[in-house]
Amino acid sequence: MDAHVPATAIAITESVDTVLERITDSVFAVDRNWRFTYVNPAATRAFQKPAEELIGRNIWELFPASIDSDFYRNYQLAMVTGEQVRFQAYCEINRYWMHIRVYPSADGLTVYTTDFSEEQRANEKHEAQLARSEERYRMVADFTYDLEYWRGSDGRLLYFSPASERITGYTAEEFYADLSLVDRIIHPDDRGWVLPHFWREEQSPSEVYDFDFRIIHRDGTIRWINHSCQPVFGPDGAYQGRRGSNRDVTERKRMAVELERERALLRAVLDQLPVGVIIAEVPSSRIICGNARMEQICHHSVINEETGEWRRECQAYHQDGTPYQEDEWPLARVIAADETILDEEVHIQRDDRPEAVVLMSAVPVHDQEGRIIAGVVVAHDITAIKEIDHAKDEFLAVLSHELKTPLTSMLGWAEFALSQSGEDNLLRQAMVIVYRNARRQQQLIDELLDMSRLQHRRMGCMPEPADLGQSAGQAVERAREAAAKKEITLNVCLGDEHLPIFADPIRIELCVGHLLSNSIKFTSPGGTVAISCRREGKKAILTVHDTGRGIAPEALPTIFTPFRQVDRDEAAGGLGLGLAIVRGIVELHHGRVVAESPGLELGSTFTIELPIHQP
Amino acid sequence: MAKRILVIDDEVDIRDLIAQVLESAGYEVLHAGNGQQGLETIATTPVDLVILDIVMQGMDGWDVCEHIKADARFHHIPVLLMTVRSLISEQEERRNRIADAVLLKPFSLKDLQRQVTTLMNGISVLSPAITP
Repeated sequence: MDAHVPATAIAITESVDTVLERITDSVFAVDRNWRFTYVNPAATRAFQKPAEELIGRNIWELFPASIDSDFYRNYQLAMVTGEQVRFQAYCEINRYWMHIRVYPSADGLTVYTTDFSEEQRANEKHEAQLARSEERYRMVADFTYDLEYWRGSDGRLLYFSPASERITGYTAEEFYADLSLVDRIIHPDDRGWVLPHFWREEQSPSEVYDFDFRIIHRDGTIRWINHSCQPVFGPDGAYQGRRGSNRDVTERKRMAVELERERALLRAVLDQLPVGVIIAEVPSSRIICGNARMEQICHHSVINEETGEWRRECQAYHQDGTPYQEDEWPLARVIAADETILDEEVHIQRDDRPEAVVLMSAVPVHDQEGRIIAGVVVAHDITAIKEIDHAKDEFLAVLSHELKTPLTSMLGWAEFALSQSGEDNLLRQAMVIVYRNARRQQQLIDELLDMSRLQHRRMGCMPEPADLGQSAGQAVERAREAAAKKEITLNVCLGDEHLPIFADPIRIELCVGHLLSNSIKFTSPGGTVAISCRREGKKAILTVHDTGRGIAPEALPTIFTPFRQVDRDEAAGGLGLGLAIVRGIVELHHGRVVAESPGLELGSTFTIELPIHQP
Repeated sequence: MAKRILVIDDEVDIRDLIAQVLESAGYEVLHAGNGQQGLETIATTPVDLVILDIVMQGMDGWDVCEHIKADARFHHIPVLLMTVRSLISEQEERRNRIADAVLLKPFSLKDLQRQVTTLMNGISVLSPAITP
């Protein structure tokens, strides 16, 4: 050491020397003639020679193989230019990668080398992986239906799959050549939001995108594209670009638009319907749609915004006034039991509004495998009809009174006059005619009123334990006169057996009376009408058979329809309501009535079946 | 002394007919053209039977019948109710049961006489339980 160097400087130099001796990085120095002037222990290991063999010796004479290597060129460069040089190189001797920093000085060069083989090996591996995965990606992407792309971290387009030509009309090469083509093909109406989106994408690489936009194909058509992309990162977490995919969803969009249009159409049609409609998904009970009429009937919107289910703020009642339980509503029954409900009368009440009477029908909708997928409820508001019905009832009551009151006077006074007429034959005959016609008018009025009540389910029925034979017997007594007048034989075989029925005896008598008068009416003088009754298991059966005109097979199905008389002529007369009334009353008693005839002029048989009453 | 019958009906022709028939049979017949008048008659004149039409202006026959049956002074008087309805509703049926018998209009004179005779003899035709 120079004696003039201050003590502190000596101390620093010694410290540096100590550090240099201990570090794992190689440090050495050469003079301007390339002779080693300093070698630290790490450098001796790197050169694989002891310091004594290096110091004072020319580096290129010791390692002639390195002449023309990166080392040689970079050391020369630093020596000539006097500027620092940094480079990386592979050390053949030690087989490792090094970072090399060369510091030139007036005395020569000082060189620091750092082993970074581990780091380098990892990078190499990653690059190889990247290359392989890129290759694979391209292979897959080249054959995919969608337009796949890959952009580098600098935004450069690295890959565009061949599908670009099908989707956009432009080849991948055209896109590589002109990146702005991507922007230009975006539909002008979408450019405004899609382009900034792309820009933002570059600013926030971690985001994943998925959106639809329009492009203009080379052929001028507009195509809908679904765009999705995600960032790609290296193992060190560095952003390396984006991979993305563009799918032509034009057809899907078109179908969605069409579907929406169809839904709108369905809604418009539903809203025009005079009946309320609700369609609910099964099993979720979510309302798919409900129309305006349904909202009118319920007096509020039908969909619960929170649950999506049918919102019901109104109360419903059965015909007998008992309230509907939740599981009794037609929709609930369809969903729970796959049930079909036809015209159930539901009385709907909400707050103080007038009661609505609704006929509800509900049907399940099944998929191809027969599973229930939806329930449809149709509600027909019959409140107005019911009101008209009520008015009609009132009218019938008034009509009944107004028609029958004068008849009562006519019949009564005619009967009284007859009882007082004595031997005056002409006057007596006149009164008989008045009386007979008044009676006939009374029967017509009775039939009309009965039919009307039956049709409006207004016929009260007071059932009590009764006997079919007894009711029939009374009807027979009433019919005897008419049969005798037409010289028709009345065969009565009612038997002694008790035929217990639970029925309104007056109405059963009326039914039997109608059957008898019907048979008498259509049987010629000299014919026979036979009535009998019997028990068959749990049924009480009454049969009226005649040898009359019979019924043509084609007329049989409608024989019990009101105003249908098989063969209308003056002799028969009447309104053709008798049999319809019979059916109405019998059905009111849970029974049935059947007409049979082998054909015209072959007579007919009417049978009433009523359940046997077992108290 | 002849039994006295009160006929309450706003139809004069029918009232006269009933009177004619029953007077011929030996009864004394009083007339009333409406329910109110009928009740006034009962209050002033003892009667043995009331024949009552249901449909009338003002008080209807059911109301009159309910009044008679609710009044301890008169509830023993049998009431024959006249109606034009052959097939009646349950509600009407219930109201009819307050009376002792029901006569359907139009009626035959024989039916009228039979009903009157039966009621005069103290037999309720329709609902024996109500008969005092």
